[in-house]
Amino acid sequence: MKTSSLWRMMPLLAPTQLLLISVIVIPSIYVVWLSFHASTYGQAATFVGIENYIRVLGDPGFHSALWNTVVLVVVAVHLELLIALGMALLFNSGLWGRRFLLVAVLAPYAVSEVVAVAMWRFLFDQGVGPITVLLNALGLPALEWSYEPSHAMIMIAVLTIWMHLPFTFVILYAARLALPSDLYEAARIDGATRLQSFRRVTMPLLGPAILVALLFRYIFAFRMFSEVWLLTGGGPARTTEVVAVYLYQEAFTYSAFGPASATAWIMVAVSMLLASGYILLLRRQVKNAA
Amino acid sequence: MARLKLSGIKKNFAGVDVIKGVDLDIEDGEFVVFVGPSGCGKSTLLRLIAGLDEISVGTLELNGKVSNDVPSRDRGIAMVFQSYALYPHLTVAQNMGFSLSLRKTPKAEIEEKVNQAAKILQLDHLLERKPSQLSGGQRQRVAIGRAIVRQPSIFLFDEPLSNLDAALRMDTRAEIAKLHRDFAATMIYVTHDQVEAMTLADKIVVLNGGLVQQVGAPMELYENPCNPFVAGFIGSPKMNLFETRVTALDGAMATLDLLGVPVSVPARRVSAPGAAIFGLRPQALSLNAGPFSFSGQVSLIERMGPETVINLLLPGGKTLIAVLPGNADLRLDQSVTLFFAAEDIHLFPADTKN
Repeated sequence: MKTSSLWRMMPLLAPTQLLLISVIVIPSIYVVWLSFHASTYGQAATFVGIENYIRVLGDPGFHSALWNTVVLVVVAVHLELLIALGMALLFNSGLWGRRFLLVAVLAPYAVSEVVAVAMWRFLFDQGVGPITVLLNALGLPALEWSYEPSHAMIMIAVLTIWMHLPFTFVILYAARLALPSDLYEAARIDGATRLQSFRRVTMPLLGPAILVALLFRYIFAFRMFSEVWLLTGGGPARTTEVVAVYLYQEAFTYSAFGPASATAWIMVAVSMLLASGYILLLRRQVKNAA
Repeated sequence: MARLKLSGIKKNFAGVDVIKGVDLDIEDGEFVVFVGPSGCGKSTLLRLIAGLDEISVGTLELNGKVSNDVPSRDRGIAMVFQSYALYPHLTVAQNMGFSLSLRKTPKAEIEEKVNQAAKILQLDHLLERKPSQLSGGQRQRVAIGRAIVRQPSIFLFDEPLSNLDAALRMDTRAEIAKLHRDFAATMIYVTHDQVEAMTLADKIVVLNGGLVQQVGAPMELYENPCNPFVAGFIGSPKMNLFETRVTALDGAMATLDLLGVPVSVPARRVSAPGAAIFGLRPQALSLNAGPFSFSGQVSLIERMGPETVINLLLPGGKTLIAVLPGNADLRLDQSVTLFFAAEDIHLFPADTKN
């Protein structure tokens, strides 16, 4: 009976299934296939086993890219979460001109990444950038991001936080708005100080939203490409390369599709590992809270 | 020990006066019910006492000390919210012990107090559940338990029964009455339901439009309401109220025009001739002959079992509600005369409407 009803449903489900299979499943399988082959323009692919994986995992360039990615993910995503949480609470506490500020905070999400990067490059231009000029005027050192790798990393982190803050903020703000005010009144009567209310009521109740925001941001941040590619191109001297840039270079600069495909699957594996580890940890904390 | 004194309390929100000057004394151990229609300011007044909202004008004294600026947590109060306001991420036991855990009370002591309260409220078997796994009545009991655990000197209840069904409401009402007897704590209870007010209160405070209309024991308010609002609000069905005219006043007796017939009745609160309001409880009307009467046509019959509620359409278009004992032998459109006695008449000057 179950099978026959499945057959009857098939024609209705088929269009969606076909779409998913053609845009996600087939390309993914093709990339898996490619990752076990040596392939470049004008040559037939030849099977090489796991050699591509061995090559990528043994490549110091990949190591540095992976390290850069992990540093950026860990630093940028957590800083972003803290800023977004602070802002969500500030907005919730009744800010003057909230509607206007909300638009201002959400604006970066509407700006094209290319435009955003161009804007930030201009702001921090080491000759005429307004922020560079301002920092100099205040007697502070300017960011020398075009030739100092650590400064370039800071610049990338700031840029990625700025671009994705609206996403994290919206999730946390919506979650905070959904918390009923009478819980806070009950907490006040129960004797909670503002800090206690925050720690024992707000944080545990925002836990699920924080988890969702973190999960998405880990995955997005791990695939970070445009910020780096457009800002530094992975330079100076490949020092700021992230994994996605490494992949792009392998595929389209060196035309090595095999290692590029292997890199893609390594990225998937690492980002899932990173995300699931964190999610498990946080979920346990949320459950145990208070 | 908790005495409460409100003097000249006013509260305005964005320029709108919600509480317009309330004076009230609440004695230690008293069960006081604030009752009134929606928007009368009763919940606001409770929130002012709880310290959840700030008093605009006037003073709040707790045990003789002005306490306007004392934070909620230091007022020795516990509050039960209409929405229960249980912490959804905590178990029943954690909800009940929350206030103690904030004060870093030792775990064993928290557990003991929570278990004690749980036993009183028969929540023992639910202690490890989350609020989402409880029924409305159970949640309400947890909310009451959370208040008990604090051992407050004043319990505040904000319409605690309005989300429960009728049967459960009656049970919980009885439970609250028992709690008051057992704890001998001061309780302030807000409701729009006059049955709750009549059954629970030592003292009822009737509010309307941000002002206290009358304060008194339930039967005092029922028997001797000070104005037509209180007369209409306390008692069910509502008291019959008709506009009338006092044509002459002779000592304690007033002569008035009752649907075209001049009658002489006790003057009560009327001290001068002029426009007046005549009130008569539906239960004061009877089919047995008496000194005064109304005649009309039966336009509605509601048989409740122990009593029958009828609407009587009087000549001139007014409707009179009457409650007759038992299953009254009446039918629709029948012409009926209902009688009443002079001592059942309430008479108010017309300008005391509010």
